[in-house]
Amino acid sequence: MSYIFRRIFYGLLTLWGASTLVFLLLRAVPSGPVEMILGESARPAQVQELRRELGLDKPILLQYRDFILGILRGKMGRSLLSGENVGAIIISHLPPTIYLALISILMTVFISFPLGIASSLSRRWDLPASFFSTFGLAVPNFWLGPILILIFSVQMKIFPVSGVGSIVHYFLPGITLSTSLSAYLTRIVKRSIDDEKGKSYFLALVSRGFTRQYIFRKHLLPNAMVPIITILGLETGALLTGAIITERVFSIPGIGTLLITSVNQRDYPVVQGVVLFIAGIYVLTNMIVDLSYSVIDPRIKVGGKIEKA
Amino acid sequence: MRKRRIGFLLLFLPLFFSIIFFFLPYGYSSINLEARLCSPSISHPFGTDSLGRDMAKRISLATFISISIAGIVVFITSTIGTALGIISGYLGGVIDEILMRTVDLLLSFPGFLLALAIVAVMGGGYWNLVFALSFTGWTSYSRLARSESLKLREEDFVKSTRVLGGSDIWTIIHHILPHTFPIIRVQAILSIAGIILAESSLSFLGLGLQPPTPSLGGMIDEGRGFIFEAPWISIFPGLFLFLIIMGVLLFAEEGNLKNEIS
Repeated sequence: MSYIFRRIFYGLLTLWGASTLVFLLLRAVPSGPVEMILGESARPAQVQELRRELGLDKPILLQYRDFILGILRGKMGRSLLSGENVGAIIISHLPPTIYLALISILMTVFISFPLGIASSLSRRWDLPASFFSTFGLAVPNFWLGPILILIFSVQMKIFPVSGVGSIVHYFLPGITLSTSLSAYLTRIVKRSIDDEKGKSYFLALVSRGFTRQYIFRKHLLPNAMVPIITILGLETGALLTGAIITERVFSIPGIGTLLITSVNQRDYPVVQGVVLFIAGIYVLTNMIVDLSYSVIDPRIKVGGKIEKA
Repeated sequence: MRKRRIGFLLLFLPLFFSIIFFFLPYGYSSINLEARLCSPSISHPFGTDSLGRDMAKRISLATFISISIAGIVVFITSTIGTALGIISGYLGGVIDEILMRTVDLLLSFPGFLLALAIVAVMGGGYWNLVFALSFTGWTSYSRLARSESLKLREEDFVKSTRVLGGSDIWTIIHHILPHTFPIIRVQAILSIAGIILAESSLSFLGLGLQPPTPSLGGMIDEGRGFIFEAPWISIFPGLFLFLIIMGVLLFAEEGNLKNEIS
């Protein structure tokens, strides 16, 4: 129990650190955000007005207090352009990103588990799997996307070029985003099963005459799951940042597109909100992953120590 | 060793063509609207873009710019990261605690997102990119150097040096530092791939290098609008990027790229 509390406390601490970082970042702009928003031709009265609106005329510690209190109340300010609540804007852009993320995770799991397991169990699969994982890590997803569009949408006319609407629209984006994720996960699946095969309990089970399938299902796979789940948790970072790029390639109106358009429009409250939101999701998933170890591997609950891969 | 050789070959191809194409008689930003969207030919090996600029020349320059950014960032991050890591591991105590908590904080944030946030508020451009990518890049070196020097501190030869009266600085420079080099070198080679990928991703999003400076990511973005009539605008810069990253990964013989960019 104390382990769970410690982990939650640490997660909250990281969230606090992340929000402080974002707070400082916006105040560290060389010319100040107000000047960047209004441009050089702004009148002093305009500058004053906007400074007061953003709360930048107060002392920095007071600003910091308001900022943190705002986050706790779920209020992250208003958009400079539309005046809408930042939280509401984020929520309205959320569904496409969630679909994209879910489809990509599904694809990643369905590609990397069979491939990783096959390459660990049979030598024949070793080379194809190793080739796939190097290829997947090296191919930039903002290049893979246009190439897939070129092949499947322009030449073969199977999938739509861009946009959202039905599940068909998410197929190419899903492949684009999951290629690099599954390339890495394939490697981890193979490596962690190989690690388990090197331990003496495996040899003991083989010499007692258990079938390979039995050993694999009952011993190898469950034991190999801890590092695999860790990496899946860490992959949320790559998933979310990859989604920013993939959304741009396929013109999906999600969180990533929101972030990039607000950066270009210098809508700093929205930028701040989205960055915090993504960081928050990342910290939360990693916390949940750490907590889920105790379910997968009861030894961790007793020891209270996490060994990361 | 075979992988290393393939990696070297993959890396050699884009570099070789970049050097050749650097001598093409076109300006990297000289606009020629009569020759817009030309398909690849003898005079324009990679075709031209929507403004009639020669793609080969632009790709050549962009490759050098990407590599130079990666080189500078690796130099900065490995120097600072290793120094901080060794100090913290060797001296321990409060410094160690503060440094490692900072590293934890930076690593609990997706690195690419932080770099994106930095260029978003500071603006794009060469040196801002270098700063943004260096800001998070040093942490992995610190972790490696710290754990190495923690191990080395307990070795007999280090203890002997101190018994013989070697000062902390002397021991660090003559004994700890040389022994951390092999592991730092592998990390440095690997992180080149991650930095090039991060830089071109930011440029693709329009936040990195600003036009008219050519960038591989930026050109892929420009080509998206012409994917029907002029697919080469996107294809060739991406191919160069892919060959460079794949070459570096194979050359370093380990696929830890993901740890770098996520």
